[in-house]
Amino acid sequence: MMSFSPDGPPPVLRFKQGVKTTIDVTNALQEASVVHWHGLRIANRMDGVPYLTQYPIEAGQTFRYAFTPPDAGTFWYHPHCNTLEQMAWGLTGVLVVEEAQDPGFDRDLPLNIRDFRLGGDGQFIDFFKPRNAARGGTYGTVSSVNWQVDPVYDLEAGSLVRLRLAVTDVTRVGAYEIAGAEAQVIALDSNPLPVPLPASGLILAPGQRADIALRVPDDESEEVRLVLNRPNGAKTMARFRPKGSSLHRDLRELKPLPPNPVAEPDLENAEILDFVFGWSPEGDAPQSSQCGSLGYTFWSINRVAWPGDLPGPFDPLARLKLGKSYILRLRNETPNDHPIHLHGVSFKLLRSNKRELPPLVTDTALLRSQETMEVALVADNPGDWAFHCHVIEHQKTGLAGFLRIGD
Amino acid sequence: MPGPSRREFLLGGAASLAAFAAGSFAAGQAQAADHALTLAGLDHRILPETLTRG
Repeated sequence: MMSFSPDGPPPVLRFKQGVKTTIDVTNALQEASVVHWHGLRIANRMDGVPYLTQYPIEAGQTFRYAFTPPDAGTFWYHPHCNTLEQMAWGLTGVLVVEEAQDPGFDRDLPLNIRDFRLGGDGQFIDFFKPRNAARGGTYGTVSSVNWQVDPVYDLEAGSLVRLRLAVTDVTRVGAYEIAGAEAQVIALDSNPLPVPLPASGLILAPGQRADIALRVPDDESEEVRLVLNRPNGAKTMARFRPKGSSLHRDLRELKPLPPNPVAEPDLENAEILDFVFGWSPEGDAPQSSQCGSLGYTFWSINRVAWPGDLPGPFDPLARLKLGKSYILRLRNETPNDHPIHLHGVSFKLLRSNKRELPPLVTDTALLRSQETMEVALVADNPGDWAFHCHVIEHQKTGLAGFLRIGD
Repeated sequence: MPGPSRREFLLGGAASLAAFAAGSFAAGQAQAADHALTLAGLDHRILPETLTRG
């Protein structure tokens, strides 16, 4: 396996909103890597994308990342070099940016949700199958939370717990629910919701996160479960057991999470940019580099397949003027799901041709089959920002590109 | 230390890269980081006994 720690699973990183932090990343692997901080709106050169924002960190080298997170919430981190393999081996971790003011929880519990692809003997098997990469992606065989199967967490009875779900898997889109307790979704993709949502039927795709306020039952005989509803049946992902005498807390005691300082787009004067996510018009394999290639091209954005993680230079998918508002019209012309992630900038969901959308601010929007979605943003963070599907097989077989903000 | 832009990366050649890498390393040595991550390979046995095919 691979980890961000020499002796255990990737640690939960905790930062404070608005406070500068530095992280020395030492690459003790036998291959190059970089680390991307998913969802953080930080300086471009700290974003961790090979050649686009930095050179890969060679084996044995250390790179210092330094940034000040402007937003609070639940985020995560992972490599952006040899991405499928390194993530599949274990390199995905949860990152928490704490609000300046404590909202009043008794406990904070990050849950790193992901699959591993293991055979019956517990050993890793091939990370993808090409025929799956050209469709919905290759699923793992073992679902886990914090690198454990169906872990059990003891929580104080009657307490208020902030569950931080982070789907760090490379493929799986799933519907989650909290069974056996009062629970509310209070934030999605690190951005607080104006009104809490029920913690059921919560669809999360690779890269997406949900903060759930859980009121632990009073009685030790009760059990709370995190359930993943899959086409072949429901699966319990984790259990939570009340322990001790009840604290008798109430969800209404929690302070509302303050909104993150994301600029409101000027929709009346916004320019519309079109993006079509589809199959590749060609079939050439992306060029290999030290950041790997899966050897196939299946996908494209605006009919152009990403040629691979190479020095380039390549043209951006679009050039955005600094400070200007844009509406991105995202059209999925395929029958498969594509969680589309934009680095460096958050955007607001506007409308869809398939469903009602809540007015969410996010960095990763799940485009369902044949869906066209409009989202809006203010191009307020200069640089070249990766823009790609977070089904990693799709990303690594063409469904990737970048937007350039500023000159 | 401000890093080179992407254009500088691509056009500046080896000297630019070496200077940047050296600067980063020097900065890293000058002051302990708030966090340290080590990308490392682990023995497969880190997985718990219960981790079986699901």
